[in-house]
Amino acid sequence: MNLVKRKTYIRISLLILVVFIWMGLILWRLVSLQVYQRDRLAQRGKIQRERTIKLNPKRGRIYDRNGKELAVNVEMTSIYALPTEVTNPSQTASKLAKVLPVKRSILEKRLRSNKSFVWIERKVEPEPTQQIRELKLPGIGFLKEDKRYYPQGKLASHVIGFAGVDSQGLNGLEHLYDREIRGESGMELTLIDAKRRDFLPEGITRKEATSGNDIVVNIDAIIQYIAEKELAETVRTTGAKGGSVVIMNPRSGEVLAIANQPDYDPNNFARYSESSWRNRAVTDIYEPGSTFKILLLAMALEEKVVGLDDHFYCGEGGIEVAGSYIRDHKPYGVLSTKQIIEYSSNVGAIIIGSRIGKQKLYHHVQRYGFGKKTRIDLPGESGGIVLPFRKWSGVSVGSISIGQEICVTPLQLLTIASAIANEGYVMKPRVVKKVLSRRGELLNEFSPSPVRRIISPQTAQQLLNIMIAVVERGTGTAAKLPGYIIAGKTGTAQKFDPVAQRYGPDKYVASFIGFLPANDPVIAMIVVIDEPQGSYYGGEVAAPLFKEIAQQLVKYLRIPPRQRDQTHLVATNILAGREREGVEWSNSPQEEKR
Amino acid sequence: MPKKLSPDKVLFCVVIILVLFGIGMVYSASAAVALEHFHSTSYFLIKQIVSMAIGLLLMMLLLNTNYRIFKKPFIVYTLLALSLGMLAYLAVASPAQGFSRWLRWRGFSFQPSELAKLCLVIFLAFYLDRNREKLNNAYQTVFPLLAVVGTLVILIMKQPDLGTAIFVVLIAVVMMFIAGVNWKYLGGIFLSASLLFYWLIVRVPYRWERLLAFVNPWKDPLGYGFQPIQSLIAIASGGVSGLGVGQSTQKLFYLPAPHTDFIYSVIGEELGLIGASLAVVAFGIFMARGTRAAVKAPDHFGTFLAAGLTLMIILQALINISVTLTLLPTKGLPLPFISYGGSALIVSLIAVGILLNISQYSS
Repeated sequence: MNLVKRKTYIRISLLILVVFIWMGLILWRLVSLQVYQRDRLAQRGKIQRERTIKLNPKRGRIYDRNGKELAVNVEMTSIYALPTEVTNPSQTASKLAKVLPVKRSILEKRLRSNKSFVWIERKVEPEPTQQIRELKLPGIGFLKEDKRYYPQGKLASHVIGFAGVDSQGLNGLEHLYDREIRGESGMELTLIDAKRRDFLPEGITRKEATSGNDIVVNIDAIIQYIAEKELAETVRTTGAKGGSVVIMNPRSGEVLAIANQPDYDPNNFARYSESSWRNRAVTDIYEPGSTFKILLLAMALEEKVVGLDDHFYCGEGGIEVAGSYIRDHKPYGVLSTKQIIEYSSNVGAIIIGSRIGKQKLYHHVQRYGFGKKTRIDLPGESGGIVLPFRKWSGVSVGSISIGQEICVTPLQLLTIASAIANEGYVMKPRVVKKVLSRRGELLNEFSPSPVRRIISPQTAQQLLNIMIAVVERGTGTAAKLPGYIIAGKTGTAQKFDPVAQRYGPDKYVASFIGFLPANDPVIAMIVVIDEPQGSYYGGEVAAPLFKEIAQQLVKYLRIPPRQRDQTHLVATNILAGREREGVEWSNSPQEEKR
Repeated sequence: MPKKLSPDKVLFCVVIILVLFGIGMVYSASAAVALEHFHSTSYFLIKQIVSMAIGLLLMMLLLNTNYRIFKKPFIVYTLLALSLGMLAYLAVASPAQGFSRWLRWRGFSFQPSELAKLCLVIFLAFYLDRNREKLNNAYQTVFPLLAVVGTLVILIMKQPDLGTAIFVVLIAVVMMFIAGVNWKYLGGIFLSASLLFYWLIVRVPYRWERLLAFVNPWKDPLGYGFQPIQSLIAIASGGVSGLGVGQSTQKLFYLPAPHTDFIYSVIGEELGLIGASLAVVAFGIFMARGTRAAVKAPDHFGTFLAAGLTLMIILQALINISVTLTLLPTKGLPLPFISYGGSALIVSLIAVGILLNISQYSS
């Protein structure tokens, strides 16, 4: 072997060495990837090729107590675009803009997005959908989606609330019972290739969606309708800022209607201001004023600090309490306990309150449930305000006696006062009656549940009688309904101005609370009108509204009127010869202010 | 006088195994792509089988043709002229279409740069053998040789096919090294190549960024990093034993060219560490047997030719595999015997035919 050839061999050997080192490097890299980095990288591959498709469940429906549909689902079409497949974005945008209520420029922006999927418009009606389908635009696709629909429009909108575009409950029962109504999403796991297409069309695993449960509420659509219509009318004619009506069955706590003004249409909730979504009867607090006096008397009777026929000197139309002077509408002179309530005397109420005393008044206010939520099944409930005992000042007993310095929600006051019509028992207020599965099986039924007994049946009956007198000849005569005995109490409260830190001179809340028929109450109702213009007395603004609603309720509920002679009998018993003055009172209301 | 032996059976068997294995992998890797574009899962498979048949036929023909036929100047220069001619035609005829790597004629297509690689190896073996005595004479040997290589490189770059151009330079350097060309020339080539590299790549931001993607593909996972990452995911997913033949999911359009440049990634995913390293071992055997033929060859020409052909195939294989493992930046080089591509397969089998013929002789 010559030298040249030998040198060639050495060079070839060198190259062989390089090649085998290179191969060693490759093998080492293979081990590193396929053994040590396998899990991490394989996981990444799994993520990029697995796609889970969410299968939306059917949202449960909401029915009124008689089976009327309040919230249902309608199948709509959602239109989406795959921007990479859209051939001519500007032309496509123009064509879509002619059909959809979306601006051309916004559509074009979406179509030019660098995302792989964009919504063009969610939940479109069938007709525009068909028009767009016929355009056969490349890159535009259609998906069926359920849209929440409220067939009764504004009816009971504050109670039902509404669901958003992704079928999530946002307000009212839709929100509070969302977990019940929503159902469970199903899902489908599929494998996709790099072009985002399924290559296993049937999917790997599939879990069907479970439909949400249906809900039946205690609300009666017709009672609700009456309440809403009359409330709207009163708010309109009085020029009030707002108002609420709550109607309950005092025996069971079933809520039959909750009406509020201003209201909104849940089908187009976004077009209304957020303040109109508020269920004021549950979320907003006010000082109850004289309507509280009936409960004050309840405390006094239970404590036996006054008798029904005790007489009090109510002075020259005012009383000084710890330096403040609280006025009556006019000087009453001597009044009996009953008359203090009938005429709603502030001076009398303060005397009764002082007889009860600070300690016991605080104790009973707490025990009755003021300052505490009723735990009604509606979201956003306020519990009202009762100042803690250590913060009570010298005027507190006097103020609370006339229903100031204490805040309630309309629902709360009605719930507590209903004990008078229910042998002293406070019932837990309930909106939802039962929960049904999609197939109609009963899953849960809410039976009436008493919360506490606050007064004895005897006291309850005594109070009821006094409330009958209020309507027959006291401040509430405007609520009188021929043929029926109605128990009620008016209230007119000055509104506290939080900015000025004092009670405003011209802002009032007019209210009326009552039971019907008083001999066997099936209806408890509170009417609250916020800042009526012009006349602002509960007896003039709220009582007539109570009567309007009551009149239609007795017809709808077929509550038989009393025999004429019986009515007369009861009336004469109560009136006890002061009819003339009663009429006079009704003409010039006896409401109190400080 | 050289003894005539039988051709190297080990070499023959390794090549046949690799080719048949390649046919299977081409089918597995290309079925989805073929269905997508040609509505038939076997579109690429059938074309590849036809190419294999032609390739094997030519391999047998050359196995039975004395390799010294390539020592004849007429043959060598004809082949060289043919390669240069076709490349020049491509460069001139269709510059407007952008990519022009293929000559097309009645449904047949051919990739002249593949043939050019083979012809270059033959030419270099011939030329270096012929000028053995004045090997380090700059004007008589080195510069003319570099002129030929340079012309090829420029024509290939026109296509543009940077990967093949670089590979051609690499082959030329390796063969000059084997033949014993002075270090200073090799160093000079390296230096000028570096300058050229800087001029063409480092200076152009988008090319440089793209090149660097292999260093850290995760920096831009949806852009330049996408291909390297998909390849790594494929190979790593295979684990030790692989997902099984046909079970690759990465070939479903995640890998850029699952049946050509990235077929090794599919091998790694479907056959795992075992399959992927066996493929490397097979190429290792090929290297050993090819260089054995080179060393045993009775003349310098045979040594140069056998070594050149062996390294032509091995270096392509190593570069291709290294790209799939992100050890090297992406270059458009196929995996010899395995990747889909008729021209490359036929040329590789011709090279093997010549190599097998050389292996019959021993001094």
